[in-house]
Amino acid sequence: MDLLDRYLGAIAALLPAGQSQDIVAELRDVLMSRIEEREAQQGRPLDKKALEALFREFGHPLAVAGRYGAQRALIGVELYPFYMFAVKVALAIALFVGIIPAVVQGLTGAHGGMAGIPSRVIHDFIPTALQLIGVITIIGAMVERGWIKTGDFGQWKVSDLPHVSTKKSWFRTTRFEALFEVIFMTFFALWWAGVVDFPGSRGPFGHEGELQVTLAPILTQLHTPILLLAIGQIISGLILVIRPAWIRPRAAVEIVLSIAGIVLAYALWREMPLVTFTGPGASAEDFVTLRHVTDHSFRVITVVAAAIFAGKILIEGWRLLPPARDGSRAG
Amino acid sequence: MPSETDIFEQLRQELRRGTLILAVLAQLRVERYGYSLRQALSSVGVDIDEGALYPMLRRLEGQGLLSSEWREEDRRKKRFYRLSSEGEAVLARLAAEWRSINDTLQPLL
Repeated sequence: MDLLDRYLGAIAALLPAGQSQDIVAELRDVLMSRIEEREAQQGRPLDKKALEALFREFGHPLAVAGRYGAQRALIGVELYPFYMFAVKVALAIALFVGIIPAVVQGLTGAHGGMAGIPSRVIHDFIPTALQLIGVITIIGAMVERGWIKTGDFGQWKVSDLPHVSTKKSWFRTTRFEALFEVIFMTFFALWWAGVVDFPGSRGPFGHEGELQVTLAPILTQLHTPILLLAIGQIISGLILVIRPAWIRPRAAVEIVLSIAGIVLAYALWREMPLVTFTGPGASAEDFVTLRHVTDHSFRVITVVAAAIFAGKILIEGWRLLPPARDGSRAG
Repeated sequence: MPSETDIFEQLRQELRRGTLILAVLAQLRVERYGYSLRQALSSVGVDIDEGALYPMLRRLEGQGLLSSEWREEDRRKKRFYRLSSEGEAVLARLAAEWRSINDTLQPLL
């Protein structure tokens, strides 16, 4: 009965220690009964080949032991839709994290320039996506097993869901847009705080004999305010993603952030130019042209940003007003 | 794309899953060990895979619906199962539920 012992030994190794002996004793009886039944049918003892077939029929040790487990699924049917939603968000984040650095590197001419974008996207996207999905799967499995409590997640209310308007609104931010904003601003805040390197920042810049970029002192002075503005924008985006019904609190946050944004834009405008270029590889005339282009670009960006902030103050201020009787303010 | 046979088989499995528990509980009004239980079920036309039967018996025992004890029979130790008093009450309610479902569905089919 060497085969039987080996088979049961393999199953025992996969069973919970406390129940292993009991389950294996029962399985031994079951298999012995089956062997005896088959021997009675054939009128002779089973040879090795016939025993192998009988055990294969009974099931692989992993499958047999697995049936005794309390948990049969890594992610159960109840949790699965939430898990899949999280995976889709993770894929969007991974795509975003893969595309932005690749485009920056393409524009700055690093890593093969524009031609290198597809390979950079794939190179960054795949490992990021796999890591994020792995983390989500581990968290999902822990939730499934009750190791992570979901608290009052099951106590959701319809009133927390976003308003549905039949009218098209040019100024309504969707939850997906807010999520995109959260991801982008998180990426920016991490870079601005020096936690992550901006891809390509070590590409054409900063090396000896190459183009050198010097930032204006105002950018150092405003480092913390800009970081706080980015964090505020992340919080505002998260409000819309997690609590879409909180229209007024988010409008108030947006107004505060927009006022701060206008102040920052004005401070930056006064301190132009924000960057200067030096380097041995080009003529003084080239630097003047480059500085003129970047200077003009920054001025345009600053004016546009200030205009957007001003527009936001008006729109969000309108949302703070008491709703009309027909509920048209909601949204 | 799954074939019609595959779809039927999947739906049949879903349909049978609950009824197997009912059949097992009903058969264990009389004390039996696993192998004899499977034979008893098979003799009345209820085929159940051993891989599913034994873990099911343990789950039902864990829920307090069955009681079990090890005894020697035919020179081998066997685990005998029997419906507990709690199991009898649950079986009665499940049987009533089954009849109700059957009465509801019968005119529709």
